[in-house]
Amino acid sequence: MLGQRTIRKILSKVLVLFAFTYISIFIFSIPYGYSWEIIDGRFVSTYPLYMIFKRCNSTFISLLELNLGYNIKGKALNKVLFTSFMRTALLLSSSIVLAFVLGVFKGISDSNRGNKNNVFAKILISVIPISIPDVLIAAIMQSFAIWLNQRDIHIFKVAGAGTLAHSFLPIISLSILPAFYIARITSLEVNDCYKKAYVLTALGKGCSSKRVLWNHVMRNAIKSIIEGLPNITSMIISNTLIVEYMFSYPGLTTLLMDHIAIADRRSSAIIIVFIGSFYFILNGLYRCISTLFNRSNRREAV
Amino acid sequence: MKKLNMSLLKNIKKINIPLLIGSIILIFIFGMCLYPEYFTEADPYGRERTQYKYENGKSILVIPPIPPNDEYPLGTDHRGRDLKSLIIYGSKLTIFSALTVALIRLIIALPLSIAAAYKVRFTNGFINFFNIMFSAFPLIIAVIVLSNIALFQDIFKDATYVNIFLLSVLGWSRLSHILRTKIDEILMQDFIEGEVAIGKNKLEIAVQNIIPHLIPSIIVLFFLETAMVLLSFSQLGVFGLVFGSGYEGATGEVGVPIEFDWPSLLSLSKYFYRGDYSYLSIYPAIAFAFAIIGFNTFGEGLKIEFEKENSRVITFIRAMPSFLSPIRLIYEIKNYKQYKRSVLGKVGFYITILLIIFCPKYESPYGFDENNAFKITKELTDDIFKGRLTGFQDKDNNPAQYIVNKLKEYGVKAYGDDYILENTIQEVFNIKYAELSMIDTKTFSEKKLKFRQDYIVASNFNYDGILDAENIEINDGIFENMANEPDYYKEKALIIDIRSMTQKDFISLNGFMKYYVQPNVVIFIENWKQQEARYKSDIINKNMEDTVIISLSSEAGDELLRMGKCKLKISVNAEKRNDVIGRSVVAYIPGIDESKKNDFVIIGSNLDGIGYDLDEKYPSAGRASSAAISLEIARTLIQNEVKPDRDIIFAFWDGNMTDDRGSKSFFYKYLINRNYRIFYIDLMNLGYKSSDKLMIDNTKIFPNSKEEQDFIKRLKKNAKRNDFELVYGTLYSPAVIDFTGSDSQPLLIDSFISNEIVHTPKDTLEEIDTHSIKQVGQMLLDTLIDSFSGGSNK
Amino acid sequence: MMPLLKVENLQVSFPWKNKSVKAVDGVSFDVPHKKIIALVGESGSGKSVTALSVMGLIAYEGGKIEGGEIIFDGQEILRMKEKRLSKIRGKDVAMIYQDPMASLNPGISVGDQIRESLLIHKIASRKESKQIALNLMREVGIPDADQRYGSLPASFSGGMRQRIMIAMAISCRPKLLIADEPTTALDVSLQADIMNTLQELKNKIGMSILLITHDLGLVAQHADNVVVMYCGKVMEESPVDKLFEEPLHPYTIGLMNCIPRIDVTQDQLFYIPGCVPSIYDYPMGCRFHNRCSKVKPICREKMPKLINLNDDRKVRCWLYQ
Repeated sequence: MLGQRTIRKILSKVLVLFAFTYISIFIFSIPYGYSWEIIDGRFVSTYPLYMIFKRCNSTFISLLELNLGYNIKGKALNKVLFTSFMRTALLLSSSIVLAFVLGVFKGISDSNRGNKNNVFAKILISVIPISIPDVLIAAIMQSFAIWLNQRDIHIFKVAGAGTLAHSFLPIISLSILPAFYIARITSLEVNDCYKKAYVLTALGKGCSSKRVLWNHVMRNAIKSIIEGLPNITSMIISNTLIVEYMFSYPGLTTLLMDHIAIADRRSSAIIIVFIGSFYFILNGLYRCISTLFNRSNRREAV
Repeated sequence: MKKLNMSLLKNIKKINIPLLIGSIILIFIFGMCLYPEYFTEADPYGRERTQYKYENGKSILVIPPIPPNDEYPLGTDHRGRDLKSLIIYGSKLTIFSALTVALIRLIIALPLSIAAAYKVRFTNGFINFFNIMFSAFPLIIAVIVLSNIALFQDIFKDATYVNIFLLSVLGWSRLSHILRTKIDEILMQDFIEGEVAIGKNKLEIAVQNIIPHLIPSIIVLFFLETAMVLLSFSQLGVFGLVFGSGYEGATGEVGVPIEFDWPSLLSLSKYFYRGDYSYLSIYPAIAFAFAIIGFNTFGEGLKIEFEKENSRVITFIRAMPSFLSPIRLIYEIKNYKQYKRSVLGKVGFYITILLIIFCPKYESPYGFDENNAFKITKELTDDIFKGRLTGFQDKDNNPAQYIVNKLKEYGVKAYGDDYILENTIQEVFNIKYAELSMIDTKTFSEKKLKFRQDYIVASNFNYDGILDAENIEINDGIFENMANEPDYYKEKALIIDIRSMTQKDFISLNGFMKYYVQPNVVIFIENWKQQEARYKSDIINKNMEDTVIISLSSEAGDELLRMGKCKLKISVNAEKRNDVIGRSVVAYIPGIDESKKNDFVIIGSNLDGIGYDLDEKYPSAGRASSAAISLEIARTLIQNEVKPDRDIIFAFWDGNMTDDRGSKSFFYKYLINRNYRIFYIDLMNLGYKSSDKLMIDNTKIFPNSKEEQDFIKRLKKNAKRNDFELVYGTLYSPAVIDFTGSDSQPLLIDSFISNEIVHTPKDTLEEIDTHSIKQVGQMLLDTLIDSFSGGSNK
Repeated sequence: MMPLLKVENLQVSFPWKNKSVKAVDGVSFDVPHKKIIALVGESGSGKSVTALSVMGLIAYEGGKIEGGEIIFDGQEILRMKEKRLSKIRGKDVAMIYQDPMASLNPGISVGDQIRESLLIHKIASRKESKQIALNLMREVGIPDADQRYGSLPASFSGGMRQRIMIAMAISCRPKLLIADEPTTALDVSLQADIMNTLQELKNKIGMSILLITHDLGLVAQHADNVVVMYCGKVMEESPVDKLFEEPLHPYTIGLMNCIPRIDVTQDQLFYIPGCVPSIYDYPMGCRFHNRCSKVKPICREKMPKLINLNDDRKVRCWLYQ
């Protein structure tokens, strides 16, 4: 049975989720014209606060009931939301997996692995790629794809969705920055681990450098790498917004921007909650993987 | 040789390369921010326009955006502004905003982190929740949504401050996390226990022990955080958030300064990423990348340096307080023999600082006589000229003749056969009487609106009637309805709220109405406020034949809309005169350089006043002052025997408030099809004592016109010398219509002053003072001499 | 008979600023078969550096072999390629490290760490190796081996961890075991335990032990021969009983005098005056001369050679030359 501590943990997480949802809806419920004016020496709001809360509450409750309703143009929100959600989920998950694989391997190759090479060059190599805004990456990718298209090489499709070719560019663009971040974390962790005494012990046992890297160092580094992932989740999500927007990829971002443009606050609020849900889902996933990893450590390791 | 290379290599390996590279990049960026004019020739306000160009014998249409070429190395944006100068001039607002946000975030995060490390109740939970909240809810969306709320706009006024506020207040939590970890590390050290044991309280430990240890980390984090903020800016830019406070109304009227920033350059990326236009988003993105790399490498380099045990940088920082200490300096001076070098160095340092602060003032060798200009202004605003309204002046006592007398007195030659250029003006009108009242259809109460405070009449014929008000909104059905039932709309007073309308919609609606409906009365609700009483010529693009056009102020418009269904009582009595004579005065100082005989500088001012309405005279002292300044410049140049390289023409226009402008007449008589290169400077309303800034509009000057751009740079320099500021904006002056062409570029200069005075009965001599006249006049005089006569010949 | 290990004129340096400093400067000694040789000296004398050089791991710590020879079981270690070296390490020569807390991988179970050598050197299959590991755990005295096989090192005490290190080291029945300060990080009560375990295993397996320590008590109890090092050089080499009976080198005499005695009344504990010279700035001549009570003028000018006195004793001192 679940202990008291576990129950408390679960409750606090649920509370955080609710608070996040309510505040997100609240932000969208404030009308653009809301302001304060000084009338007879007192501050008076131009829009009654209780109306804002009323609107907010009704949206919140309908969300809890999963009764998403219709948008301002009369389309059922749940259908539209579901398709966009799945598209964004595909984009996000593919990018994270690609970023993780690329990042870990690059991080290992970047790391000193016990040899004291030129520290400064390594720092430059790791700092410069993460300083490039995703806007530039997306713009360069698009220009490259257009350049290819102009020469009759139609591997990449520049905008939209529907086929896998449409998703290539967004996935690659999205995975580049996180890959470099992960590479950086990896190389720092690997360098750190190589300074530890157990590496000397492993070498003393006759382990090859490959074995030292994968069986000893990475076993400990991966844990720290996964623990560092939540720090870049928010970056990945905001990058997703940019990439979807620039590639006109019809995911949740496009849906959100369309609804903001037609001033459909209620639908916008609901969409942002779904975008935010990715943060919680991803972090939950990292935690599960971390726990699983810890458990599997106790089994056959060599 | 090999040994030298080896030792060189070893030395290079010792240098902190990230710090070096970061420093170089940051020095370059800050140089760009503070002295943009040294990095680019073109002023970013200048624009390429749609025009025909002749290349290889072919005539091609040039429409911005123009891709990178020889003239514009990075291309132009969709408005024709040179992208390179946009990026360089935009660096200041972008970088300093980013630094401000990073600083505010640090200021918020530091005390909270210390409190959290001390386990003050709820602080840790608050930080964690905030972090989760604005990680899950993308910060950029939060900023975009919240920045549109009127509350923030009203508090901060400027979009820049709204964005800085929101980004700081919503984005500090990540920093707090990092600081919290570092503070925990410090608190875990043994010496903290020692501090507690000797009786220090938490605040003392925080201030005396934690913060000093944190300083290196804080400095590093400041630079790294600035890089993160710049990254957020780039994302915000893509979604259309801008920092500069410029805007354009539906009719294209803009009256506020437009600043530049990098995020706004990215907002077009969605539309212009395809094919040839990809440069529009790539170059600003590269600028961002460059700045972010600079801040990141500098931060990382500092981190390495601070972690070194015998770091030179830390030694330098530690030595600073001692270097700057005056006590130490006094001691060293007392022991001068021992500290000779140090004393000389420090004294030299302080003298340099003092010189920079208390730089002696610049005195121009050409004195501009402001008292003379003031006297002329006084005479021009005299009652005998009856407000100087075209067509309503006295034949014998008219301002044109006055100006001619003055020019003759100064020895300035006439341009053409005679000083006075006459032209026929088809029609001038004056509103003798106007009434607009709102009648509530339920209560029948009548609310009378005030002419020129709540509304202005822009049409020139008489009208009398009571009509039902009909509010026109842009929606899917309106055009269909108008086309099917034009008579229904013709009989109503059509009310159109153009405050939030896009330009596209306005043009469609206007055109549709003109063609299908030909309404009797159209009332536009515009953005001007009650205090900013306007003149009819300010209403542009709204002329329709046989339609009464009324423009309502924002407040009056709101009141009308609130009333809902009502009737409007409209009565207009316009006094018209047909085929009147406009008298413009044109004189010039001839240039001496034969190679520049096809180049002209024209300094134009408006001789005609705005006249009077309802028998109230408007002295238009600001306009008179401009004419006076122009005259005084001419006098000074002649008196000092300044020989300009090209002809400088002094023009005083009449009739420019009508379609038959004096400037148009001059252009068609003397300039058309002659392939002259013209630089036109329009002086609008100058000399007001309450105006400490001058607004210039150089948006119609091509970014690659070197001479004109140099003129503007010198103007800026001379403005600084004369102690006032230049701001940029978009202005409107009818004369400019005639002087905007492929070889003709106008510059407009106006006072940056509230519209409470200009073009109202308050625009009298009391508002003018000699000091303001002197500032503007001296600036213009010096700039003209610098630019067109090879500098001072004294 | 050829000794198991022969170290001849070993020189190891470390980079420092633009130069390099010698941590081991011409060390020579032998380790015969089935003997315990103690390498004794203060911190910084070069003992651990010597040990790591024998294992071929000094480059990993940033050191560089400047000269000399290390011959292990007839094979030249210093010029051996890494691939070949890794075949010897863990199998023929093994090492126990100073800090058992840090020397075990916190993320791998102890059982798996013990059997790793067996798998690397293909001594047993996966199934067999587990059984062997369990036996080893019992052999070194770890209770409830079956239950604790899959535990992580964090759940063991310091003494138990050192036993695990020993189990790991002897898993392949090495010919030479290098024990680098095996008891320094442990309580006194455990020290005897660990040393006894080592002694038993040595007798059982027939391996030699190179015992690195600064604890003369340990040396007296367990070592067969003693090599005394000071400032990177060997000062004296002698069988243990002769060393304690009659130490030759003034440094060794000083070390012996430092040991407090209960049979002698002392007002003050003895200490060697002065301090160990900095590795960056060794004095000319004999490195001990500025602390030596029997210093002669020649000691300040010239470094004495390590000479044989009687077959089994060597000393580096002008007093005997």
